[in-house]
Amino acid sequence: MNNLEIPKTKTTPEIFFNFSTNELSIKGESFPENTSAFYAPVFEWLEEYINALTDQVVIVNIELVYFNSSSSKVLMDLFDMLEEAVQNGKEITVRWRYDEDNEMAAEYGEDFMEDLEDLPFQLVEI
Amino acid sequence: MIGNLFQYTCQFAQEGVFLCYSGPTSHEVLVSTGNTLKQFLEENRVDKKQFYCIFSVYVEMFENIIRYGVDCFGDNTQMEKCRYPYGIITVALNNDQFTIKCGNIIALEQKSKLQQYLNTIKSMDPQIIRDYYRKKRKQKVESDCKGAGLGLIEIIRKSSQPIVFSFDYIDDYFLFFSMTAAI
Repeated sequence: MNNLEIPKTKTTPEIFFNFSTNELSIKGESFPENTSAFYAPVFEWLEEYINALTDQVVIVNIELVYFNSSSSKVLMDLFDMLEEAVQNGKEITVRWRYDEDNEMAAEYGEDFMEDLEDLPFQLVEI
Repeated sequence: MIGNLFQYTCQFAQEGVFLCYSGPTSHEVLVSTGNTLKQFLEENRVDKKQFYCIFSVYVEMFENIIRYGVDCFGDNTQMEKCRYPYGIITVALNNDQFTIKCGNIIALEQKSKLQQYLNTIKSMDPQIIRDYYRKKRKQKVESDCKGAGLGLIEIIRKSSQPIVFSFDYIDDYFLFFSMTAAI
């Protein structure tokens, strides 16, 4: 399986999913023109990746300084997908990374955390 | 015409408006005017929380115009054929408070649902609207929604005062919808 690499643009984050180290990262800002079209390859890659997972420890780093409401919906769908994988025995942890003076990013992280029961979700101040 | 533009400029200046866009809207225009807004906020050393509240409201308002507005420049004013809906958006600064206003043309039949929805979410207190946002985010998107259907909730959650909105009569088919948020 190949890594997934999408370089950042003015309105989309950098995406780097490393298949060999099991580190997945989404970093930057997210307000794409067409949110579902932008994230479609991300979901496709993840589906294949999760199916191939055995006992690897996966870390998902999310470091978004800004995202719009449609990206928020997509993130929720993404976390739901990861949570389902955890419920099926996969070992996945989300690290929600935020800048100490970006109060909003911290609040968003808390909102997500409360909506997830089984997915380990850590708030990490950077 | 030049006289009129000078009057507009003076009026904007008096009201503290430092950014105004009026015309056909698109994602490209959102990105470029959004960047200008960010630069202005950075230069004025606006704190991070207020910075992202302002930017967030700006993006959501702009995206609403792109998604739901009606084109009044093209030959065809039918909603489904609209490429670049007309919109106007202004950002003003007065005594550390930012006011963002947006306006666009909608079809008459869009009014009742929008008005009812805005009145409902406007009356929610912060905890209720937070729960409502989270509940809606977990649900499947409604079929007549072109986004996640969370934009207006986001605008209300980011505003420090209740939003104000109005519908002005244009003709038997169209209305001018406008909304004001303060941060």
